[in-house]
Amino acid sequence: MDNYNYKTFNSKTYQYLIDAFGEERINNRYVTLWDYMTEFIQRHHYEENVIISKNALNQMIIDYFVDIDRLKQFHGIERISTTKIYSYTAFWLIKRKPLQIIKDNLEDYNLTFANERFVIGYLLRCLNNESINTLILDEKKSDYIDFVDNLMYFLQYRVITAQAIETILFGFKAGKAIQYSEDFQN
Amino acid sequence: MMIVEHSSEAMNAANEFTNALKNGTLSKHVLPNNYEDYTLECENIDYKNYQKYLKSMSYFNYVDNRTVAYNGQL
Repeated sequence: MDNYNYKTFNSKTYQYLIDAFGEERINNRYVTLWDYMTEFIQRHHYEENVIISKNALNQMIIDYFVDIDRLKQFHGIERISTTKIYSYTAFWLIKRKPLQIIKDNLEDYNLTFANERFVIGYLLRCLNNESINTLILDEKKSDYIDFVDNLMYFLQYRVITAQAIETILFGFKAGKAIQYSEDFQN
Repeated sequence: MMIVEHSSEAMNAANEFTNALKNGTLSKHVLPNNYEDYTLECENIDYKNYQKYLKSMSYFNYVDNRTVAYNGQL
């Protein structure tokens, strides 16, 4: 016990997050996510129906960085993989739901799941990386659509964790690696 | 403080356990400290790609108009 003192840690404020990650990085994450969501709102013409809740986004950003800080401390590492960044971001977005409906549209069932649908776009972009314009071959379309539908279902209805999202991302990457290797060897 | 006499078997097992913690027999599985920095530039590139993705045929075909409804499986 003598070597470890919890009392030296200032638990009253989140200043330690600024110290750990830097103001610029936290700021950039905030504005980037804000802009991501603005793009999503415009893309789906949700301007009258959905707003970005600062309360929820503030909390989401705090929760994300606290989570990552704990993770880094446990592992004693300075940086984490981008897969973890994407999956933890996705998890906290769904948990805190910064997109808030201010005007209902009962004709649009997808509006109900605005946050989950935003996150699926965010994750699919991460999975496809820069090859976002790749069109899926006709004979493989159903496999891809099954994956997207299953991911949507998972985000909307199932109990999710950041670790489960991370496993999905790793699974997708592994599938790409196998396909790439097969193509290369043929 | 109430004194409880534990069995010697339990005490030996507990000692073995704390020794294993101290000598590293029981150790943490830790992630490697070799990940690339996710810089502000990386973040901005991701955002630009997201903007493109929203306008892509891939988003239009596979995400835009698809709806999944609850099917009883949690």
